[in-house]
Amino acid sequence: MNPAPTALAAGAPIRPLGHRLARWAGPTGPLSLATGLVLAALVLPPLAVLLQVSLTTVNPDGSPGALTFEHYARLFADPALYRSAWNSLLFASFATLVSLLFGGVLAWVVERTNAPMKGLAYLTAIISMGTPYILYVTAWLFLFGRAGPFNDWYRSLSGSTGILFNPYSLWGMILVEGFLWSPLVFLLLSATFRAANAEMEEAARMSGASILDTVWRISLRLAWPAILAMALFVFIRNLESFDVPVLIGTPGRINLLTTDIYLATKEVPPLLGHASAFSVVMIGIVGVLLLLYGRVSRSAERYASVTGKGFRPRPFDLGRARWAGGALIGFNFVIILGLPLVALLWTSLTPFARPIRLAAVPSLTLKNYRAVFGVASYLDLAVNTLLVAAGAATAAVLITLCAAWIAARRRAGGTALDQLATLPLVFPGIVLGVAMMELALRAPFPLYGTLWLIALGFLVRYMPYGMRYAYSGVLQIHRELEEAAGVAGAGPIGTLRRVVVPLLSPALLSGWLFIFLIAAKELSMAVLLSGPGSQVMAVAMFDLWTNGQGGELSALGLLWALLMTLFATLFYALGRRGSAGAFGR
Amino acid sequence: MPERHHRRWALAGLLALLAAPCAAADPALVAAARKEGAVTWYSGLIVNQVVRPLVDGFERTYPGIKVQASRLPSGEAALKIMNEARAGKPQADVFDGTAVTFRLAAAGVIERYKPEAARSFPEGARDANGDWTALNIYVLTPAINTEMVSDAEAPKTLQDLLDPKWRGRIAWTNDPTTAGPPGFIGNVLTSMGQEAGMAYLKRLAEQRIVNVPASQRVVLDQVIGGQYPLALMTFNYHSVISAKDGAPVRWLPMQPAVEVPNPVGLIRNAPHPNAARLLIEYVLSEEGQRVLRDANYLPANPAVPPLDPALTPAGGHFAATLITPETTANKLDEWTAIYNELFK
Amino acid sequence: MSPATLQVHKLSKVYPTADGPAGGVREASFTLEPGAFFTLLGPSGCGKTTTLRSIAGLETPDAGSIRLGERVFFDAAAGVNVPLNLRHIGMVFQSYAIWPHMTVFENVAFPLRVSKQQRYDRAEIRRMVDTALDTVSLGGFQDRSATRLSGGQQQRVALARAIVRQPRLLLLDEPLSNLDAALREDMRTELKRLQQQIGVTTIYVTHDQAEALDLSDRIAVLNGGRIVQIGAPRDIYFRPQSSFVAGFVGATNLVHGTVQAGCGAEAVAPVLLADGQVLHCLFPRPAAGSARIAISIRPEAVTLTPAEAPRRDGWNRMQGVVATSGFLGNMNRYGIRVGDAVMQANTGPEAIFPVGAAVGLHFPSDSAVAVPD
Repeated sequence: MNPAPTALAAGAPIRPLGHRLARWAGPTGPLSLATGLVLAALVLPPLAVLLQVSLTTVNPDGSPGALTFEHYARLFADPALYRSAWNSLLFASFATLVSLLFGGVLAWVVERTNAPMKGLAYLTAIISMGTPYILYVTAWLFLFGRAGPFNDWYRSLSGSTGILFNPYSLWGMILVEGFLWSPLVFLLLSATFRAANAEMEEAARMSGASILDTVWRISLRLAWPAILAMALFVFIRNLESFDVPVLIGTPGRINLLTTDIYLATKEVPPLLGHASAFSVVMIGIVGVLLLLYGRVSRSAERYASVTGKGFRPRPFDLGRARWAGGALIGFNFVIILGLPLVALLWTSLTPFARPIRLAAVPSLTLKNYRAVFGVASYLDLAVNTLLVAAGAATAAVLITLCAAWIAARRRAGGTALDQLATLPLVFPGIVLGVAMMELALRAPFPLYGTLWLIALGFLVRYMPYGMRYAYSGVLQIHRELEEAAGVAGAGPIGTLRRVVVPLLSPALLSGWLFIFLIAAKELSMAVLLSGPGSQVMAVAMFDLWTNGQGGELSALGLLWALLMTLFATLFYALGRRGSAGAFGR
Repeated sequence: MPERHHRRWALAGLLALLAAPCAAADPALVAAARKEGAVTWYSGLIVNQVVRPLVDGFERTYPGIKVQASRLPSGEAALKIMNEARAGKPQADVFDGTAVTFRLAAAGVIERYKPEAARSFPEGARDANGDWTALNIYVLTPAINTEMVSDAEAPKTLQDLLDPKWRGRIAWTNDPTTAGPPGFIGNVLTSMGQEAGMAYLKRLAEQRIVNVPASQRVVLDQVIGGQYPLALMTFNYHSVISAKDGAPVRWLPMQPAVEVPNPVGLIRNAPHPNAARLLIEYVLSEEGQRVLRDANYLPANPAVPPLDPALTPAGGHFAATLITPETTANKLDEWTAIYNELFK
Repeated sequence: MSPATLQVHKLSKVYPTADGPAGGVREASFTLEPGAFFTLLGPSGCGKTTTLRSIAGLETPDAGSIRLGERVFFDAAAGVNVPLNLRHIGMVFQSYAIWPHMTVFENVAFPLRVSKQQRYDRAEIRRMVDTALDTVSLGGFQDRSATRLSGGQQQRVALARAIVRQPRLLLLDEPLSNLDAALREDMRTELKRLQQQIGVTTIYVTHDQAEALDLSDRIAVLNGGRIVQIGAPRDIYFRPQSSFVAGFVGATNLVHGTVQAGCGAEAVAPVLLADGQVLHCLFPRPAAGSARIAISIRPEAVTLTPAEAPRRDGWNRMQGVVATSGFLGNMNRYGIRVGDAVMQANTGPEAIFPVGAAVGLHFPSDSAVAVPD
């Protein structure tokens, strides 16, 4: 052997330039490229519109005018900027914490222990996802507000005229937002815990660790990449959240960064420059966060747990604490589902808005339900909505499956795909809606005003969620299971279709259902993109909401949630059977 | 609700039968509209209550012309109509809405049209140039929860609103239009004069009025539900509707009230211009206006008095400040700025 | 398909990390005759798995070339890199990688179903899968769910899957490491039989020297990313070319000394130890005078006698005191203190010396193999 005097022989950490190209020339190169093209086609045009809107003035006819930095200047010129930014940071951080703690602990209890009533936790998560946010938030405000039963009881018990809870506060916002997103955390993390390798926890228990020790030192550490990804995701979402800050913050005069922006989008016509500038700044921040995340999770493969050796996670025996676990599940049910549903049911049965009081019981009526059933067009709207949501969910799952696989396996272009697919997370719905509208108006084929356009908009908006589901799913598949398929002669598509998809099916089904449920209740884009022939349910609900037909809205919302629940339950039953077949459980 | 629903349908059918022979519409227009066969309406009105009955009535009167109605909040309506116009693909023929009209006029996307049916309308209910015609009238007044506020305690004048007992207990929508706080501000400045008006508004701002991020109707519901005893800038007919159902609510004829016409108009380069004109004629006709009236709205057509005449300034004998789209175009930005500065 | 010659030439693959390059393999070259059973042996992190994965196409090497027969799999210089699924290789993974969502039959049939080079009809697939399963003694398990198998059975499924399309090359990545000891012995025998039966060129990766010696035609010992010796099992064991190989492949005693006079290859020459003793050692390669070397003496080559027994002709003799003794059934294992060091000696179970007894250590000079220090 005569060593060639190359950089390699000298041991320098230099990769030949050709190496990067070689990765692209690898078997997944074409798939990366194709996925990248699709993602770019979906995400970049709205991004371009966003940039343009953020950098131009608006002429009276709505066309973009001169170049300006005024929108950015206005962001930073706000005298209360630091206060708003601080509020936003507090809000996003603590709401993330609430979601993670609540959803995460719940997921662990349900998946890894023998606590009772586990089905209830799933039911809660699913129904809550099928219920429109506006109903949710107003239900909580109704219950905990000044005239709500809790403050009512407090006044009658204490004899004071004040209030015990003030939901119109920063803490009220944090709790509401935290609870609002805990079902998502619950569903995503329960997939992670379900796939966890029980032997590692058992080894810790054998070494003398208590359950808490084991959870803290082993379970949590093993799920760390998934938890971190989730935390980052929820944090970003909270940071750019509009609805809760506005619905609760405006009456409480608590300004967040997004409050002002939301109000600007409510002007006629909406002032989008400000919102777009904010989104652009957010995209920068999120890009940095995602890069950081990429670094931290580089070792994520170490945590892969579904091996080829077959797995059968065994739950912890909590002993007497079983009932504490059950109580947590029950509490979750009451807070996330029970109370809001009671509030909705009450509103749907009262002839006009009334506080929950015994005196009001005789006036209860079914007229709101009769009214809902009397509107024949709701059927069309329901069908439209189901079609659009199902179409968007299916497309999003397919695209993010490819993107997440490439990204999680660190194939060529993976990081770029991840960033592209996550980008729409920071597009405000109305900005994305305007972008989609502009693009559809310029499309050479009839797209404007069709259901296709709404589906396309939903696809872009909810891709990031599909990405998270698929990504954490892929991380849990032992790499050798895929490599074996490659060595056995399967190409990337074959490997995806025959090995990755079946193994990923539980994660994909959950992702599909999640997107389906939230797309079915999306409002801001639906209002803008619906044509006369493509109205969806959310627009009808918005109609009822602005018209103050709270009773009818509650009735319709409850019926809608019921339909969604039936749908989701059916779906889960099928999915469970499917995955039971796949994993011999 | 269904009772009213059925009655409305029956009424619409009956009216159609009666009205068809004597419909004043120009036969040439009807023929041209028939040829177009369809008309698209971007409406800010409530679909189930008004839009659908109007559409049903129109389609009954003019069979063969299909109305496609799309419910849009003002902001979104303005965005869509302007973007469609700029792309050279106008989709809608007819629009309505208090907040959109002046913006559309400024953007040059309105096709002027002076409807036959509006010839008898008073001056404030139609545009001299034909940009718009009032479809109905909104009267905005304060409203109280009658269980929380007795008649004696209820504020009678604008000055009464400054009473410290209301501090933090008054709510209004945060809708940045003339039907929201900017309209209230305009009313104060117009009725009191610029200087006294500003002084009043500064004192009112100290009452820390709660900005509710929802429609006027939702604010009223929160008053009914006991969240707030008093709300400003509510549509007075809403209080009447709810009170009929037994809700503890009453509107206050505090003077001057705010009167805002809800304009309807024709879109430039509309794909169905004749059917659009026919639809506008229909909704402004006595027949169309009766449909509005039966849905508890205040008709713009003087020939169709409201169900409760006391709701209008004329019928109820109270003073009101009329804010037309022209005033809006000139003043809204100024009033909104005051709102943002003092009340947010 | 007939087995083919595998040529690996100057294969390099390093993993750059923040602390400089880690793991990987550098400039590995070897050629395998058709049908050979070749083992990559070394401690963890030595680069054996990287080499195997590069051949499989699971890693893209930084430099070098890999060819099987006339087919170039990879050539950095020419920019050739055949995707792994077109290399037609069978591989058994350390974790077996049995797909949990498929039956045994479907797992084994997979390579046939996805084959691009050749389409197989249902009957063919059934026949080939049955044959493969029979070969690994799993006939009748076709419809079993893959998750309802023992470790040994999963291993056989993985093997059947690897051989089902009669690949020209079979790669085995520590396939026995997850099995218990008894099963491992059985599978080792089985594996050898199977490889001889189907005659496929096989590369086996392991850190277990007993497996390597038992199974292989040839062994490559790797250390720190480099191949340090390639040879037949006996060569590796009896003619280690470095103290690392001597120490890693089987237990050995290493004694350090200085060559007294230069010598040619395969010659026996005297070596002066630090304590002044002289041992006669076998030099597999030429050595220069006064070079520092190490001498590898296998414990089983040492015969113990009472201290006074004379040195035999052609043998070396050292003196020591028994420090430890252990009875292993088929032999006794002694630790003998010689000067400052302890040397190990394995003797027949009949030779019994008490701890503290002075003994003589005898070993033939061709069992004292000189290796570079």
